[in-house]
Amino acid sequence: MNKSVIGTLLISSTLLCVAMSFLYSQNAVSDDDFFTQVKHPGVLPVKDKTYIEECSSCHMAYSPGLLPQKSWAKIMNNLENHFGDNAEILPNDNKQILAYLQKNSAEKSPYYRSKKIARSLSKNKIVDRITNTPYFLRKHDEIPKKFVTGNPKVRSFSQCNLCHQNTKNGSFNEDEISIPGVGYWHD
Amino acid sequence: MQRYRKFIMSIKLNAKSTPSQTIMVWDLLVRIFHWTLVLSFFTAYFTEDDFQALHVWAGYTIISLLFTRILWGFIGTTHAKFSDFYYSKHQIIVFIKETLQYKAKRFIGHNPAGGAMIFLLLISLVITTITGLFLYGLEEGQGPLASLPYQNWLSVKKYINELHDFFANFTLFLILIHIIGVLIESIIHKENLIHSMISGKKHEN
Amino acid sequence: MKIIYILLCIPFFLLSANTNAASLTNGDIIKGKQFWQKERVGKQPYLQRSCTSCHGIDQTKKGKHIKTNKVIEPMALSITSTRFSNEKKVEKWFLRNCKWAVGRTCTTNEKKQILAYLKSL
Repeated sequence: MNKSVIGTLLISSTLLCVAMSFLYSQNAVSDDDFFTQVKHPGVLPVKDKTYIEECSSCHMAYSPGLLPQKSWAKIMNNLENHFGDNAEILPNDNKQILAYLQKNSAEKSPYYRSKKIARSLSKNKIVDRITNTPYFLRKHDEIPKKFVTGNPKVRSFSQCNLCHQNTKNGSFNEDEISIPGVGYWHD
Repeated sequence: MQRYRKFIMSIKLNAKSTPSQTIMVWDLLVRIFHWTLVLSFFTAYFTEDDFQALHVWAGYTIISLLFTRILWGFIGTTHAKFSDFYYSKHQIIVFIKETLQYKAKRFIGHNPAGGAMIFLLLISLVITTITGLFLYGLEEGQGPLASLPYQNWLSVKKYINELHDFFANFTLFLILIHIIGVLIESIIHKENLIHSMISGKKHEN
Repeated sequence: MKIIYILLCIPFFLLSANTNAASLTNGDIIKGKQFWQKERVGKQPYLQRSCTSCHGIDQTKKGKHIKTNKVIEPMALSITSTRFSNEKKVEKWFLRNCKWAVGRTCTTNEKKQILAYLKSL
């Protein structure tokens, strides 16, 4: 067999093997991601009036796409002890808000970050907060403590909007970060 | 377009008028590899994080290309084999000196400097793609290295990132020098080396 | 003549009884203020709790949430004139914050006294 043929066979079979191993592996990039990042970047911007009214007096309105529906259920069923505070609301409002959150939760959302978050979650554990999702942890583990938890102007990773300047539009783009007291930080 | 046609014609005419013939230097695999790599590298370089899926697939493509080319470097056609263009440091320096004096002889396959460039490019690309795989697994939790425990890799992750960025840029730098080298060689020996990498042919003389 | 004076004065007594005017609420205002400022024991990590934990000591100034630092507009009606107009909202915050600060819901009287205090500022 002449070498040209061997060569062509070799290259095509290699590409085929690589393609198959990646497409069939659980963590491969799935096709929908090609356009997701362009069509639905970031997370769903929050527009629900009831949710904004009842759930953003003390902290920003977290997009429903940041957690899976089980986590939202856990939070909404436990508002009496909401991370050390009492955030109770009327039962009707609770039902309505929970429905909104679960309908747009991470595993159901077409948004780019939501897909990443959903993909990163383990099937068994129910995560109790956004800052404990594996995707979040991977993305924030290189940040020096003195910029966030040790920074009196920020104090906690839960305050997304203090550093991410474009959360209102659901964007967590790295170019839109300015840490109070530090400025733009790039990893 | 006209100019290009004229240039090709002049080469063909030259070929006819002199007793030398055109020979096949770069086989199909080498040529497909070369141009697919060009496309993939620039796709990867310019998509970065903004079009992550495209960036990653370009990276996957480069990995498979590298794998194939390296294998081919051991079992392939004459001028594709690494042994054909592996020269000692001394030989490379002599070649560069002679080129600067317009005295260097013409090589059918890769000349010593070109050969060194190939090795450097391959190494740089291997490092870039492997660090990329690690980053994809550790940072995004995706790809074949997704199951690595990111907590244990924390301190190393930063360095892997720096390596990835550095070698991506270093590859670009090498490409620039590569292009300059190809142009210099083409001018000095009066042959269209870019066309050779498309058709595979060079003239014998 | 005296009867006419007495008759003329009755409406004024009736008026002052109806309009939550000074005499009724002076005591309420003081009680409201005491209730508002009282420090109570709570669970970790907030072992000391009071309305002032978030609203601050001076109700004519802005407060901030004890955990998130989110700014809270002054509670004094004179400063933030939109306060207390939405009953549903008022009830919601009483529900949440009494449970947090006091450990139980506030009684109707206590709520009245707190409102009296804040409206007087």
